[in-house]
Amino acid sequence: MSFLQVKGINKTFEDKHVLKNVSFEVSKGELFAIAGPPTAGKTTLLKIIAGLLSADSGAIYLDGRDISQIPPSARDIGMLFEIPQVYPNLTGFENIAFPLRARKTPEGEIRKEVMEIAELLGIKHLLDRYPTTYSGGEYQRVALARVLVRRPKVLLLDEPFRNLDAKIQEFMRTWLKELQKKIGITVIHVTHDPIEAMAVGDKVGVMLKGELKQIGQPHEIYLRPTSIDVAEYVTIPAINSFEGIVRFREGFAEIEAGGAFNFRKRCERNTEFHEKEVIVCVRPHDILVDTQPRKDWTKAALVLSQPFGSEILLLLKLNEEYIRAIVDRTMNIKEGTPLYINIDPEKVLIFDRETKNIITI
Amino acid sequence: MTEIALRVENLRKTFGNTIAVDDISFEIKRGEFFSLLGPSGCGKTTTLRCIAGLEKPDKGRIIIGGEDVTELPPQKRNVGLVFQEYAVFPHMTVYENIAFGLMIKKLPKDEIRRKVIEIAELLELNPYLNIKGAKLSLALMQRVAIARSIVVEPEILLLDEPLTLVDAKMKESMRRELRRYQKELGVTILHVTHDQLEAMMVSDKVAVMCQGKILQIGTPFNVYDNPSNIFVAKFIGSPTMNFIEGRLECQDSELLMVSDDVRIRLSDFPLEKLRDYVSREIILGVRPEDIEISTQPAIGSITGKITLIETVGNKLEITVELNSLTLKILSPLRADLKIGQPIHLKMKPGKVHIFDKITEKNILSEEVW
Repeated sequence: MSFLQVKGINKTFEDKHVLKNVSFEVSKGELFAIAGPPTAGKTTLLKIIAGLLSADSGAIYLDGRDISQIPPSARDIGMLFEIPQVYPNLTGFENIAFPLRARKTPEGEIRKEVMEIAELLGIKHLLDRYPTTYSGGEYQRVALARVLVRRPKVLLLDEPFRNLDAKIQEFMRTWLKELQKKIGITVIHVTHDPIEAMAVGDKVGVMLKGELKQIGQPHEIYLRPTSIDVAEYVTIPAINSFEGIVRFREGFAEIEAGGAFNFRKRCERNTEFHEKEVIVCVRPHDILVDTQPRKDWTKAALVLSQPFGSEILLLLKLNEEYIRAIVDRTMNIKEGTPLYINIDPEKVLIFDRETKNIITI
Repeated sequence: MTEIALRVENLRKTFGNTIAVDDISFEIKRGEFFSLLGPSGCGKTTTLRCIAGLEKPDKGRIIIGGEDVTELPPQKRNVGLVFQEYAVFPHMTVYENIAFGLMIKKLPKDEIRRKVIEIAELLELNPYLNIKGAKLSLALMQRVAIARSIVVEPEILLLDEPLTLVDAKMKESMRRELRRYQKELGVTILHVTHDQLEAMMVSDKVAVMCQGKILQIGTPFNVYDNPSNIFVAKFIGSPTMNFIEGRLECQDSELLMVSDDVRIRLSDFPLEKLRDYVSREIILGVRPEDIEISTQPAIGSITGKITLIETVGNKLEITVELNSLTLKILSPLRADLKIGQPIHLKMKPGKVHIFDKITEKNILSEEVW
């Protein structure tokens, strides 16, 4: 049995079904990242695991024990909120010591525990200072120390980086991942940012409208999304989608997409998918772009080019549709000149227009 | 009419003992998208508030559209302002929201109508004109807030962290829309952000700020390719640039950087430019995407060990340890790498930056602004 097991959780608020049969397992020492847009139900799920809210149905097992009916303080679960709780009128030391004092831990032991956790988190220099003097990242680390000093079996993180500067977020992401590996704690990390989830998670779950739609390793989620809504959610910049149709002819599957692209893949006739209405999705990185015309490539107008780190993000217009493409900096792109595009048949994702699920051809 | 929409001259602002803005100067051309970029507390928002007239500077001048407005109240400055929380009136329709500023100016009704429709068309807001502010999505609210601010034709639009509260997914499309509309409308924008990618994506020019000072002004690629000092180099780009400290040496007329951990050949650097630095301490900077990796050693490659592999979208962020040195490398997705495996690294020619260890200035970049 897995270390943490969440089974069939349902939750409604009035007539809103916010969690729909949510189940997953987390192994000991694993970092499970749950990504989903705002209002997907992520925070509600964490609160149920922490015992701050009760589920309508379902169960939670920790280390083999059903904890669903146990009060929060007895669950051995620590939670760091989006707006972390640090008392402004207490020093760093007293803030971290607070949960231990509440438990009436002997003074000598408190000192030892606080120093140990401060050493581990690299915040010894903050112990004598008041939180008003902390930077965003320091504040977050002291808040985390407060949670970790109780030595929870599972740590729940709710958007821990949301209110930090972009650059500090980047630093904290690596810092947290290294810390987690060092102390071997089991973590559920919730975020609205799919890129963050893929970067930190050993395993990633995508939560959309109260449903855990897909669970997998980061590259699986990115490369093999099982449904179109997962593909659209995890791909940033936004994935391109074209309505298309599949036909089988003489040992090939011919796919027509968006009226502009036709490509074929060698494969056996599959009557189930013949004449199937599909949606063809292509990630911006997988749109092929050239400044010179090429046989069978389509001419597109360049609407906008934006620097994107070491790459350039292009917005192209083809017929009435906008297409996003990412190209290398070395490509000589000039606004106002046409570009020629194609799609790589090996990299497209094809979804059933009706069920929204992926089709393998 | 002047070509300069905004000029800030020697602006200084203190709060008690804290110098928030420390004698900064810059100018923004008509139709330019200009970003002030820096960490929290660097003075960027204070600068914007001084320009808007919400703070009184201790020293310096603010010139908008050729007119010195330093002593003028906010409403007389001809600036539009959009904050983090879009000030869209929830009980008014989109039409009424956009028309608001024109009504205050007591413009004739049909002129208001014409202007509102025109701006709504440009910002693709026509379908929503009769919808109440409270019912709008964040993306629409942003567009309404912008439409409202530019319908009164300000000389310059000031945006204070306009996308901070938006989730990651929507942020990316809003950055695209913002830039597209700005170009189509030809508006001048001063934009304040802590997010380097955002600044890169929307701006014609970026000014990097730190501790009340502007460290560099340039086009996005310019600050990315030629950071003037270590702070700018660190702040721009993600993952952060790698830095390696060492001593510059010259052996058989070939340049080398030598440290306890590595020896890096700098064969593609012009000796004349670096001659003064031979036998001195330098800091070498190289971006994660400018290190090539191979499972096979090659001439001039250095060897480390993979300690972490992270999937970030369609790329891998690989952490490599080399004695006491830790380097981050960005590589296309590939499945053949494992933690613990030895890996051979080579810096791409022409992509290495060299900084003076004491002044932290880029030795090779010219002062370009």
